[in-house]
Amino acid sequence: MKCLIVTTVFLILGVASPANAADLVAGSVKAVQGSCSVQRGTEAVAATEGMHLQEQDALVTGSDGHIAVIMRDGTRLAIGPNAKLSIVQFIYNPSEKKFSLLLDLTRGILAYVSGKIAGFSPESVRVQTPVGSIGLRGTKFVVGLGVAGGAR
Amino acid sequence: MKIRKSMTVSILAAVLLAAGCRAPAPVPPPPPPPALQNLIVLLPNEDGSSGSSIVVTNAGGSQELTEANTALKVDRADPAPSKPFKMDPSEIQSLFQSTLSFIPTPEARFNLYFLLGGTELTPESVAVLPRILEAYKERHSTDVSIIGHTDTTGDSASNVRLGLARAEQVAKMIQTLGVDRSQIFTESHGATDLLVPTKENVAEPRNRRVEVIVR
Repeated sequence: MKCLIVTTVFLILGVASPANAADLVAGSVKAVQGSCSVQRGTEAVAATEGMHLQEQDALVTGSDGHIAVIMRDGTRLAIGPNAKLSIVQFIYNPSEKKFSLLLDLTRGILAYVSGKIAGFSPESVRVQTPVGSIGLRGTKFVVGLGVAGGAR
Repeated sequence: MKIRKSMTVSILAAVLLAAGCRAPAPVPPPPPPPALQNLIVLLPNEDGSSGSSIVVTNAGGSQELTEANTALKVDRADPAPSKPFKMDPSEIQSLFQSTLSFIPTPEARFNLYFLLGGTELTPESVAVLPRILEAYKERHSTDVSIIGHTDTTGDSASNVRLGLARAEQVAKMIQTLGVDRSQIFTESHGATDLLVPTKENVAEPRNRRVEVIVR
């Protein structure tokens, strides 16, 4: 009897979950150079062209690495060598007007070009770094953490 | 040539060994490492428009960048970001060129239109399908979204179904052309996202559409 109840609850959760393949895809890897990996949970796999990315994936590049990414809303990202960028949160649901793009750059260089989320809801975009966070309006920018040179 | 090469290697090895045995020679001081800093640079919009800005905030305060090719420095999390300063575009390039040149191609978007009430594409829209395939191949895309829409005739539940049927119809057609079905993601917005706003029960052809987005 106990077992039956547990099973029933599980089934209800299963039906209620809206997750399908499309919901899980936050973006895709467009190009990879050098040694690069994607950390998903406790696992790290080599980053490959075309690979689908999910919320909470982290992109990690080696000393010779670059990764290019396009998100579901058209946001474009490129990271340089010795970088780590986490996709903390990604919600792109224009029909329900729900948006969030939260990135965390732990180290390295990130180049960012806005997509639809920044157009619909700029306050929903945030890039965190160890030294401060970046909010924006429709924009292209680059962040370099620990860059050699560059004046002043 | 081959012999010579191996000789060079052994001589080098010998020198290293000898150096290992001798008392340590005074090591010349290493050149000072280049000062590392954290830079945030606002770049020109790709379409040439202006009006972009970013705000950088930390525990010490906020600074806004409102002009292209201006930058600020942030040393740590507590002192506020520096005041904005101008950067020469060539200096920005020399610091960030390899990453900037890695930014991928933008997504491609297409609108396809349907005859009233069903899933049959207009002849003009059928002619657009090869361009979708081209965009898919050019980008080595693995992520194609197809979003179905309807006009405001019919009730909302049947419009959601019709929008999905339209998306699925286009999915089949581009699959036939050579797009991998596992890379196509269909959804329907019914009559909730009109291209041309209308009242209820208006048969507006421009609202009977699917959007195809190739990323």
